[in-house]
Amino acid sequence: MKVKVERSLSSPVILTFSKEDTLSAYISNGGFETLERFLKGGKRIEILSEILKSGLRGRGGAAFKTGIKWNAVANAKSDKKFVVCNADEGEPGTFKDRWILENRPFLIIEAMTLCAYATGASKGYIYIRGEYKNAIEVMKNAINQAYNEGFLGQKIMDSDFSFDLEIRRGAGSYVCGEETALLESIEGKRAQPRFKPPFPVEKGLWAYPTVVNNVETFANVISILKNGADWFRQFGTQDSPGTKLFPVSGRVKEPCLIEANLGVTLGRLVEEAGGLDGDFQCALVGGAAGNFIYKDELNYPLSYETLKEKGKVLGSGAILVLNKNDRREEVVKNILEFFINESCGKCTPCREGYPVLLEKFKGYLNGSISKDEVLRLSNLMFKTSLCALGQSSKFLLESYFGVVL
Amino acid sequence: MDEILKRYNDRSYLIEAIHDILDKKDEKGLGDEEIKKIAKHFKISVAEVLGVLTFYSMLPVKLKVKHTIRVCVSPACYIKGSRELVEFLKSYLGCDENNVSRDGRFLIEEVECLGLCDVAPAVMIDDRIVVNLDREKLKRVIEEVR
Ligand SMILES: Cc1cc2nc3c(=O)[nH]c(=O)nc-3n(C[C@H](O)[C@H](O)[C@H](O)COP(=O)(O)O)c2cc1C
Ligand code: SF4
Ligand code: FES
Repeated sequence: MKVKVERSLSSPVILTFSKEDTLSAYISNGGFETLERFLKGGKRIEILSEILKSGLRGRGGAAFKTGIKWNAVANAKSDKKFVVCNADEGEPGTFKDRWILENRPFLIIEAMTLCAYATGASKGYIYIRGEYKNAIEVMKNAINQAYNEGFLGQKIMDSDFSFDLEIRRGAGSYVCGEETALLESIEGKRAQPRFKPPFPVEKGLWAYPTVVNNVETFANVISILKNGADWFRQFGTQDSPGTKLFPVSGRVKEPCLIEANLGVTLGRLVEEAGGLDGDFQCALVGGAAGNFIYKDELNYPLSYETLKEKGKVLGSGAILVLNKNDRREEVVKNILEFFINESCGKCTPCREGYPVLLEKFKGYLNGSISKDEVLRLSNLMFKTSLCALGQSSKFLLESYFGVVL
Repeated sequence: MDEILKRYNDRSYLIEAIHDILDKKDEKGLGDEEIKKIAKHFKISVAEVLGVLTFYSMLPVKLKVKHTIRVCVSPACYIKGSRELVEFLKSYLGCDENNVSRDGRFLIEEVECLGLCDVAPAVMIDDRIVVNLDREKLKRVIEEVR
């Protein structure tokens, strides 16, 4: 996979250009120093407050503040707590977590261990989608090495802190990425989302308080704790601090993974990806759960809050560029079919809604149904579906029709 | 299979155990007897094991093929012609209505994004990743594994 650092970014926070898949390579780059500092005298509260101050938002799509999550679990009274890393990466167009898992596995191990230390958890799971065979292998080796050298397991680095970490493999289901479905899957069940509330921070794995974070979210943690929240806030924007990994694919000359400040423009990312292949039509941003962004928005900053102002979402940050020869309506149909296939069937609006929505959309294309009728159903599904899978078509269709309701 | 099951006691390992069993098998898929055995080992019902097997697309039930070809049909691969690749594969291998090849060795599955969108269109043949595909390349790889 080609990786790039956007020009205006002085130094990347997440990407590295040398592999860090052996423990010795990681340690020679300063790995496990931060864990050691905290285990030998640092305070838990410092970790919690630094992450909160950094303003780090979850990189899995929903952009929830990580510090709030960690504090909630830290404050929960329970004799058991868990830390879970969501490495299910199934959002179409997204290949950022795969790069992190394959290249910087120890960074995730160290971050999860610190999260466990801060929140009082004693057990962690990395849930990796089953198709990512190589990432699973690399992570498995990394965990073994970490155990052998005393960075995982009993009395880590001769401290009083113990933490166990285990990999669980997914088995081909997009909805498993939804955090409560993922918990069901770790418990060995069909991955149907749970009703929320209670949220995982209150009742997660086996109903114990659980932190669930995306791989890229964890990948930011060590540099924040090493360099401080103020350092982290020099990247990105006021409300979306930090950098982001943008997987760029489709009609660009060099599809690649780009790290850039949050707030970077689509135009800039396209340029970094070798420029356009053909004439720009639009980009699908955020995958199937995302939306279209058009030519007039090529210079618009991509951050959680700026897109929200337009009724749009950044989601996973995936960017699929389409040129004038691509048929946007075919992509919409493709995504609606995707949702039909991936609906877990637990709730009616999503299970019954998507097939009807696809038919209505086809009806719109042949002129027999109005766009309002299509949007009405998608909005109803948005309001009544149990999880975000059933709600996702709203952004796609509103951006397809170019309206924000 | 007994060896694998012995390693796992707690019910939460159901999916892990099935993965391991399938990894060791030459022909993918679990038969009735095997499913019964798994249910008994984890002290759950056969229906529950079947429920899990049918929920996850990577866990096949009663399948007797040697190789699974997973073709990504999500948007990045789709715009680069993955549907045409599926059609080509089906006719090249002479697939029946269940997408099993005439010689019974291959199963073609349309799957969602494999996280290989930068090198689309992408396919997984068993554990092997094949990217930047066109018909010629696909033919070559199939003859290699066949
Ligand atoms: C259908 C669906 C699929 C999702 N897939 C993923 C995924 O593959 N990876 C991920 O990190 N989050 C995914 N999410 C978001 C998670 O539910 C959750 O918000 C996230 O893991 C929280 O971590 P974060 O705060 O670090 O982003 C998905 C959500 C939904 C509704
Ligand atoms: S919205 Fe869809 S995927 Fe989510 S719980 Fe309901 S049926 Fe399942
Ligand atoms: S869309 Fe095919 S690998 Fe991502």
